[in-house]
Amino acid sequence: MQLSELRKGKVLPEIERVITQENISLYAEASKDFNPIHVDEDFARKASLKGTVAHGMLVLAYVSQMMAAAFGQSWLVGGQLDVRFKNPARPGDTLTISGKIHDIDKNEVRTLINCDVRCRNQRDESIIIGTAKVMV
Amino acid sequence: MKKQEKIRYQQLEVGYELPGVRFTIDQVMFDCYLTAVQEPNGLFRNNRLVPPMAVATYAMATIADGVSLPPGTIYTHGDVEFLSVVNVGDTISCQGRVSQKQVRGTFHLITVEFSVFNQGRKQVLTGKTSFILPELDNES
Repeated sequence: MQLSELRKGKVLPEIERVITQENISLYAEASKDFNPIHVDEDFARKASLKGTVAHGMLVLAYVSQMMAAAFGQSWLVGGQLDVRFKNPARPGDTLTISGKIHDIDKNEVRTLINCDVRCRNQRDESIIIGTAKVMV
Repeated sequence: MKKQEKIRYQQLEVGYELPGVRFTIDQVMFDCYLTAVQEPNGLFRNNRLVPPMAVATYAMATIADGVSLPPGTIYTHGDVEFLSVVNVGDTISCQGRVSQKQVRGTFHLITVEFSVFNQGRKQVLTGKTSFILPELDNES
């Protein structure tokens, strides 16, 4: 995203991801987080979760992907995320990750972009909500 | 990642420093992470840059590795700041500290602050995460 494009209210390009058990299992491998609520259907059901759920950090990685796609390398140095995990994402869910610039704080040396970010499922339930900041 | 002796989460108190862990992010870990998160951005693979959330994930894994977390642990909050890029082949050190602990009925709410440094002792990431842990009958 070009500096000239940045303005309050600007909507960031959305990304969409479909959650599958295969992705969840791959992420368990990558993160070494084999909590059975992610990989054991029976355990997850007994834990009142109605089945396995995706790792919160996997979903958060998608939020980071949206920010990296919008802001490139600026996101990698000086990017900040502050989020709450509101609902679990489940296999079969289609997630839409969205963001909007709500404030731009500019001075002589840097421009700080504050964004609202959200990840929602196909039922418009919030999976993650929070804020992201990036210095450009 | 190096194995370490686990502390039971009931023993965690505010101020407890989790054992530091140091490891190298190799090509296998990098490839595994990019595949798992369906990373489409060539910025990472073309430049062998480790996605910052991968670094955060490894830091969390370090935390989890030091504590005996019960199955059913759920993350409720995450706060991360990316301070410097990490390249494949970098050796990173992770440190964590319990900053908050609350017991609500049969659940424990724990917040851990963590920092990650590279081999040059430069801080590359800092963050905070909160999670809810269920009390297990056979552990009380």
